[in-house]
Amino acid sequence: MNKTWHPKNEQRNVVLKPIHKVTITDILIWGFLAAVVLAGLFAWARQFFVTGLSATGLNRPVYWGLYITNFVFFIGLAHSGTFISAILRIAGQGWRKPLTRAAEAITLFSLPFGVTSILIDMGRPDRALNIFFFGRFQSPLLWDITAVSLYLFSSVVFFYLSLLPDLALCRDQLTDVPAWQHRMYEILALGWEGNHGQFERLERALDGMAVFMTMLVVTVHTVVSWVFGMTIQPGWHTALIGPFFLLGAIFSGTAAVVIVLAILRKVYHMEETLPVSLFNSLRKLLITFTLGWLYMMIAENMTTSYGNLPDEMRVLGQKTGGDFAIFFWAMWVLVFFVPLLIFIFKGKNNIGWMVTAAILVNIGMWIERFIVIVPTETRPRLLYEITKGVYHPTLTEWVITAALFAGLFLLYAMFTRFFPIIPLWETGESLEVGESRNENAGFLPQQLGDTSGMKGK
Amino acid sequence: MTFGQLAYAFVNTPGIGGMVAISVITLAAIVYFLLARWILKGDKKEAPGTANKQSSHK
Repeated sequence: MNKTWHPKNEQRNVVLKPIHKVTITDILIWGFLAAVVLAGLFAWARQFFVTGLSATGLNRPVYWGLYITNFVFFIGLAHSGTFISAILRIAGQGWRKPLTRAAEAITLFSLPFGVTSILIDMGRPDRALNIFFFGRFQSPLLWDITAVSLYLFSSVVFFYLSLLPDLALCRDQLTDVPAWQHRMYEILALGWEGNHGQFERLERALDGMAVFMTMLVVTVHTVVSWVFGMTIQPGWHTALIGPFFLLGAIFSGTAAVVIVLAILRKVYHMEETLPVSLFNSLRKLLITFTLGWLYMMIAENMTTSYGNLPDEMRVLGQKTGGDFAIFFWAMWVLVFFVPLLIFIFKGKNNIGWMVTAAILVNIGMWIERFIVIVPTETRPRLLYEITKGVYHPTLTEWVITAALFAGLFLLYAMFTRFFPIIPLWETGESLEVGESRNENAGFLPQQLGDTSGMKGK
Repeated sequence: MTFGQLAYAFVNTPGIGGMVAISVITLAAIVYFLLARWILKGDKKEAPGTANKQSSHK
């Protein structure tokens, strides 16, 4: 029998254990999430076939509301995987390895919901194709479509390539799973043999892609911000909007990784695989991002207030003391004050506090997206004298929003039950031989020589 | 047609932007397909005796 090589990993049994069977609790949770998704589908179908966008609170001049807020938030959340996996890979941060796949999975499952949010907001999603038939290159919307599509595609490839060795491991090791599941691993593993040439090429490819993904991640969220920034609307037309969006995206994405890791650690008993030290490393990053967010916020609002331009001040007034004041100040509390105190004084070696802060950050960042988008539209530059806009999201919008989040959680939860959520080959220490079903695969163990070279970076 | 007119036509003509977007995605698909094939090829064509060096395995 021919052999397939797999890196040796003491945590293998712990990581593969959740894949062996789906529990009743899983089915109940999936069922609940699926019900929320179905409710959202029903609300959207009603909006699409019966009412049109009149089912929403959108009106003149407030054309963008919850749906676009969700779009920006999901795209931001998606930056977690690229940051952890690509940017920290380039920076040579070896501690990132156990959490790369968990972070990349957030990217993989968030992006489609970001794109879906746009289609829902369009009212007539079929018209999305018009951008390909009639799109002009000067339009930031076209840059957006191009960048997000390429990012989604590249993220899938980056994720899949790094999953290949572990898919082969599932193919070779998981003999007690249902036949369809085993067949799935066989197909997805693409005949991976685990020879040193494959590992070497995989490493080189991932290194190269990490550089490309880093450029993409900067491009994507900058371009998303330019959809707003390239207009002359007060509050949006600022050169700072690109870096501000990017920082916020990486901030909320990293906070989301903390939440996901804590859940995986608790539910799948991965205390040794995901040690507290990982959370401490993320804590340092989050402190940096919190302070970076403060810097951006001060720079943005002080520049606006010192300029004292009437259009800009009307929007700023809406945020600080007008219709959106409660959200604006809640954002400060949730994104900055409370999380920073927690990170500094309570977060060290305390996962519970870290998760609390990370949840607050993500709620706050969603509100921040809302605060960036809607107040400007209620006080637009040209129409201000004619109308003062108001926006009250409807039940339809809230149900669809809940469905989008439920869909993300559902896909993520299901993924963790069918695929190793910790990259076993990247965290492995050396090679060992396993049985292969591929008759043409591999080479003999003694040909590998010294296996100590497989130690992680 | 001057360079300026050409550039103006490129960014303003309806449809060209869409072609650029599709071209970018198509090019990426080709590159990723070739990349995956190159990775999977690995040591297949090498003699077994030459396969005794370890990857740096970052």
